[in-house]
Formats: sequence, C-alpha cells, structure tokens
Amino acid sequence: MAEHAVLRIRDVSKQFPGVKALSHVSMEVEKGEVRALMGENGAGKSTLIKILTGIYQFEEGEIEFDGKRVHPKSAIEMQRLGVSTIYQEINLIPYLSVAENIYIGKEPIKHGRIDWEQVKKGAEEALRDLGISIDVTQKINQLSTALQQMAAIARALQTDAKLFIMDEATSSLDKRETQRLFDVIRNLKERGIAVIFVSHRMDELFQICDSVTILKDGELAGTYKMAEINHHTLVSKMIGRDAAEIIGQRKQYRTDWEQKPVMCEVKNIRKKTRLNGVNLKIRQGEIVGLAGLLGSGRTELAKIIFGEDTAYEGEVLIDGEKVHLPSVRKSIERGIVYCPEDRKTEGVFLGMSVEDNLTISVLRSLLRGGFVQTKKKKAIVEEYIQKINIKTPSGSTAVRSLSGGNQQKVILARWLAGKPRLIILDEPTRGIDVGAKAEIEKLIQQLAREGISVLYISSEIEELVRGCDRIAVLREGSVFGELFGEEITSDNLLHMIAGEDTAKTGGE
Amino acid sequence: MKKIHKAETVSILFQKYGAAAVFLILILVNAVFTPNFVNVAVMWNIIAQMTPIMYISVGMTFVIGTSGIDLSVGSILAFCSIILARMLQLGYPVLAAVAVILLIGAVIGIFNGFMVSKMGIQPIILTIVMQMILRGFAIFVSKGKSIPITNSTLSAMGLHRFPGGVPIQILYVAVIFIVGSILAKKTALGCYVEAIGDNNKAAFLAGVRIVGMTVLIYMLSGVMSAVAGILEAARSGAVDPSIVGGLYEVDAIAAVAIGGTSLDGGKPNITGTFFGVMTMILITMTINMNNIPYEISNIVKAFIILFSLYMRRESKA
Repeated sequence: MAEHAVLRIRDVSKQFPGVKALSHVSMEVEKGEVRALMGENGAGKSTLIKILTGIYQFEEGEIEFDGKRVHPKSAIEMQRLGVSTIYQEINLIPYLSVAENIYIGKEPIKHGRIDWEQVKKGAEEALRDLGISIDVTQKINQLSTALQQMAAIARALQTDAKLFIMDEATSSLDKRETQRLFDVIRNLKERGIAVIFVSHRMDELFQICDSVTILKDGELAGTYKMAEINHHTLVSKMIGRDAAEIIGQRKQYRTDWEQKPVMCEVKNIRKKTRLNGVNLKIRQGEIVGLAGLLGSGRTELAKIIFGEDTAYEGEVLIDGEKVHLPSVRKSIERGIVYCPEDRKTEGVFLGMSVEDNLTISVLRSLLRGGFVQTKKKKAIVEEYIQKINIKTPSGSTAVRSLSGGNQQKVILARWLAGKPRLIILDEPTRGIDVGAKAEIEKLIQQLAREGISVLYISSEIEELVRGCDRIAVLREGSVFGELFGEEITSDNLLHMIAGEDTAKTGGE
Repeated sequence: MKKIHKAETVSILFQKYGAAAVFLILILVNAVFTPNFVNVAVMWNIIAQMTPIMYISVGMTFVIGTSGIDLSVGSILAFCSIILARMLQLGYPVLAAVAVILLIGAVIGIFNGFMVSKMGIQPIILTIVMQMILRGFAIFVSKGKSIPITNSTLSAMGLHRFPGGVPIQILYVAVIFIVGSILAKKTALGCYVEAIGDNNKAAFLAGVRIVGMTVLIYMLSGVMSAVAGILEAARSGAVDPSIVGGLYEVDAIAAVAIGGTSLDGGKPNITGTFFGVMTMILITMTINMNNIPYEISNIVKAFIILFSLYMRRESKA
C-alpha cells in the first residue's frame, strides 16, 4: 500500500502566534484515491491545505510527495511538482478562450509561431478525455462555474498534476453540475490521480470519496474508509456528540400553525423570463421551504417579497392587504426581513464591528434626542451574542475575522433584534461548518415556535426535509408542487425538483 | 507568515495613531532644524490659517467615509466667499449674507449627493465638474477681479485676537472638532456612514436610507465649505475668485487619509483628521520657513497621500 502513496504527511505541525493550528498530523493518500478532508472551521483543514499548496510553511514533521521529500516555499513550487487546487472561485483568465486558458504558458510552437490549430485540437481532446465536449473557442467567462472548473482541471492535467485539492469546489454547483464534476473525478481516479476533496455537504462525501480524514482542533481525529463509517459517527467525530444529535434528528411535524392566519401571500407573481405566475401562502409560525434548481426563480421570489425587487406583476399581500409601492424599508418596518444568499456582498459589513453590524437596523429605535444610547445598544448586542451563541472575542471585533457561521448568526441577530414576523432565509447554511449549521437549524425551529414565519430557501434537500412544515417546489418560474407533513421525504422532494409528478401537486 | 502579521499590526497602528505620530515627528524635526520654530506666534498663525481647511476636512471625512469624494469643496468655498464679499459690498447685513451662503453651500451639497446616490454618477467625476463650474461662477460673478472685504463685523470674526495673541479661530476649531466628533461617534450618522462606505448593497438591504444619508453627507460637506468660505473671507482683506480655496481639496483629502479614514470608505475618524490637518499645515510652514519653494509642498503632500494609501492597502491584504 505504501508503495502506491502519492502523498505522505508525517507528524506535521504548524504554529501561529498564540495558536497551534496543526499538531502532529499524519496522513497518506494513494494514487487514484479520493480522500475527504473533514473538520469544522478552525479544525485545521485550511491550514493543512495551505501547507500542501505551499502557501504556508510547516515547522515540524515531513511531507513526501511522489516519492520525494518536499518542503515547499511557494505555491508555484507545489504546482510544478503536480499539486493542483480547484477552488469554488476559479482562477482562470476570464477574457481568454477555453483553449487558450488550457494551454496558457505552454503554447505549442510551430515555425516560431503559436500553433493555434494544435491549441484548439489539444484543448478539445483534453476536455473530451474528461467526458466534456464544448466549443473551446468561447471565452471562459461565458461558461458556468462547473464548466470553468472542468477547464481548470483540464489545464492542470496538461501540467501532469498528480494530486488535486478540491476546496469547496461544489458549493456553487447545483445537483446536476455536481454529478458532472463527480464523473470527472472518477475519470481522474482511473488515471491514478489522487484527489483531496473538501466539502460541507456530507452526502457528497459518501458518494464520491473512498476514505475520510477527520481533523478536530488541529489534531488528527482519525482516517476511515468511507464504507466503514456512517454519517452519524462522522459528524460526532468532527463536532462531538450533542451537535451531532441535532443534525441527525428529523423534526417533529407541528400542526399548530395550520389554524393560524395567513401572514404573507403572493398571487400570480410574474417577472420577465424568471417567474411566470407564482402563488404561495405562508402562515404565521410556519416554516415554508422553497426548493428548486438554481435559476428556478427562488431568489427572485424572495427579493420580491422582501421589496428589494419592485419590477414585477402580480400581488404580494401581507395580512391580507396588498402591498403598494414595495420597498425594503417598508418591508423591514412590517417585520419582513431577508438573509441574503451572498452573505459577504449583501449581508455583512466586513470592516465593521459585531456591535455595529448587529444593531444597524434597529439603530433608530436606540436614539434619544438624536444620540445613540450606548448602554441599550451594548445590552442588545450582549443579549443576542448569548442567545444565539455568536462566537466572537468581543462586541468590538470586526466581523471580517469571524467564521462564516458566526457571520450568518450576526445577520440573523440583526433581524431578530427588530422582532420580525417573517424571515426569508436564502441558503442560510451555505459554506457554514456543521456545528454552526446545527445551531442555526435549531434556532429556526425555535423561531417558528415563537410564531415567526420562515421562508426557507435551500439547495440542500436533507436540510429542507429536516426543517420544513411544507415545501414548495419551483420549476421554471412557477410552483410546480407542494409537499406537506408526512409527504416530506428526500425521495419525494428530489422527484419533484427533477420534474416528476409523483406527489400531489398543490399551488393551484 | 509572521512577517505578514507584523506588517498588519504596523498598518493598523498607523491607521489609529499615524496622524498624531507624523505630527509629532514634524514638530520634533522642525524644533531641531527650523530656525525660530518654537515660537508661539507661529503656532497661533498655524491655527488661524488651518481653520477653513479644518472645516472642509471634517465634511470630507464623512464623504470619504461613505467611499465617496468631494473635489468641489475649494470651488464651493470660492463661490461662497465671492457671493459673501459681493453682498457685503452691496450693503447687505453680515447675518443675511452669511445665511444666504450657508444656504448656497447646502443646496450645492444636496445637488452633489442627489446626483451621486440617485443618479449613480461617480463622485469623482461629478465633483470635478462641479469644481470647474463653481470656480467659473465665482470668476463670472466678480468679473475676474478680487473683491475687498471692508465690513468690520466680518473682519472682527477673523482677525480678533484674545490676550496673548490667541486667535479667535481657536474657538472655531474647538467647535468643529467637538461637533464633528459628536456626529461621528455619538449619533447614528457615524454608523450609517461607515455602513454605506463598507458595503452599500448590504446597507440598503439592512434598511439604511442610502439616498437620504448620502445627500445629507454631501450637504454637510457643502455647508462646511461655505463656512470655510466665511472664515477665509473674514481673515483676508480681499477675496480673489481664481485663487481663494485653490487646491484645498487636496489638503483636505490628504488630511483625511493621514487621519486614518479609509479612502475606500469606513469609520469616519475625526480626531485623525484633526491631526491630519495640523500635519498638512505644518508641512507647508516647514517648507516656507526653510526657504524651500512653495510648489514643493504640494509634491510632499501628494507623497503623503500615496504613502497613506499604501499603508491602507497592506492592511487589507
């Protein structure tokens, strides 16, 4: 077995000022193996990856790559050796063609000129080997993220990559695209190329990985064959028992909201090419899931209900009254709030403190004679840091330095401080580690019990199935069907998203 | 990695205390090299001279906090002081003239803010156009000639000295420093400015009145420039429409940059700006008193802006 190892890590440690980020971690990855790397944020995952890609230098231990001992000093060095990293965001050159990107820096030369014929043919071949046939003369930025990733993989293969590190490569892909990437990974496997695969989506790991290495608090928590470990054990290895129980639990269906009044209703909402006639009711204290593929109109609908997008036809009714001249501010005043899909660009103020991020939307209620009442402000901040367990050194810490999960909690706290009635959550757990995910899911349940309505948009089937009282499935801009109570299972939901009408259709 | 950490700390320290540090260093250097530098009279002159820039810089701090910029401040000052001088020449009472130009400053600022936030025009382009237009108006109104200030009430506002040669401007500086600090720290304004500068989209989605706030901030900058116009006129015997307030925007932006307010938008740092202004004036004085040509001082200022931007860049990496 050791003969076939492409990567050997022995006793590697890495120290940051004040923190031991990695402590005596060892692992071996064989040729053609797909290895999952798991751990919560802060467990040392990204430190390890940065060491492997040459961005960080390690202090103790040794790394052997492809039979040679290495101590990389720079990212380029590791790339030359054959380690290639595929990120969620692709670092290709957007305005060059696919073929040019694949061959960049090593264009074939004929008669002193670049042999463009060969570039095109070679690129086509490289992609065909991965099972993809596309027009290689189109510009990279015209491709979907998934295809851009494929192009990046093809490029790396041109330089004899022996190990791919895929860091959250699937987080912006939809189901079908993910499967396509998995096909490519299987293809790499056959060629004897190893893959280290990092993802927060547990089901993906079980689909594609052979084995898993789990890190916890900078230490190795174990390496297991995928076949030997189940979902539950994996999670509890990562986060400890309590949190694991939440994730493992299926929600108790409540029925108390059924008699409650309709809080928000949308009638026949249309928006050019995106939405064509959406009908949906959300009752007080109800958690309504909104499922559908990317581009099915989920986010568009959310933005219309929130009042951000005002260019639509149809009606939004709040407490039975039609909303005239919708606006974000009006919605917030009515208690309708929105946690955006893209936390960093639409949600948090990265440079601002936790305090200011948390209170920005209620600041006006904290004014007396034009001045902010600092004591009251601090009290609110304290209250929510406690209540929803925001892990931050202090209220004055910049949000930038918090983990994704805690940034999300800050946004939730911002809205909760204003006592909302309907919370629209757009992919609330994307890119968040499993511990924080459990906490956020639990919080959502608690909010619904307190009578707050929730519109829950997610691409994660399991998450919706676990958490929702009712799930509406959008397809091509309208509600294709709804699932209630016991009908809510992953199978039913998947079928409905895929467009098979096996369950009862609702949505009039 | 350790190296990066160190650089980070340095630049954070620079943002917080950079202005005060540069100021102190300049004073020390001057005390050693500049003849007659430790001279109370000179210090009072510095303060009297810096007051208009101080007012402009306070407005600029908020504008830059929203990740905007106002290049029209010097021309607003020129236009306002010319109107003021002209109205006094025509015999209007000081109070009426002051009220009129404060209103003019406010209206120009509102226009700037509206164009930036509602019409989506790049602040740098808009305000440079306004700079040209207003300077043009100032010259047009005065037919290109400087207008003498003969009103004794106004002159008293600018030339009065307390016992010991302390200029009346010390009061004005104190007032704007206190008012500016309160606005930035104690009211919701500072927080909204920072939010808009940090992430405009997120601020909108969090329910901040983007348009209202931006208009208010540019209005503040306009009013501050008008006040600076009054102060400038009060100190001078005459206002020259093509000279008065010239390149004040550079001094103000430099002061804000040294003061630690991020030019990409962020927390408005009034204390920093205060020291930034002092530094700018000190640089000018140092150069003047050492018989270095005046033009050099602008080059030095430009380098200081570049340096501040560079330090800022590192803290983001």
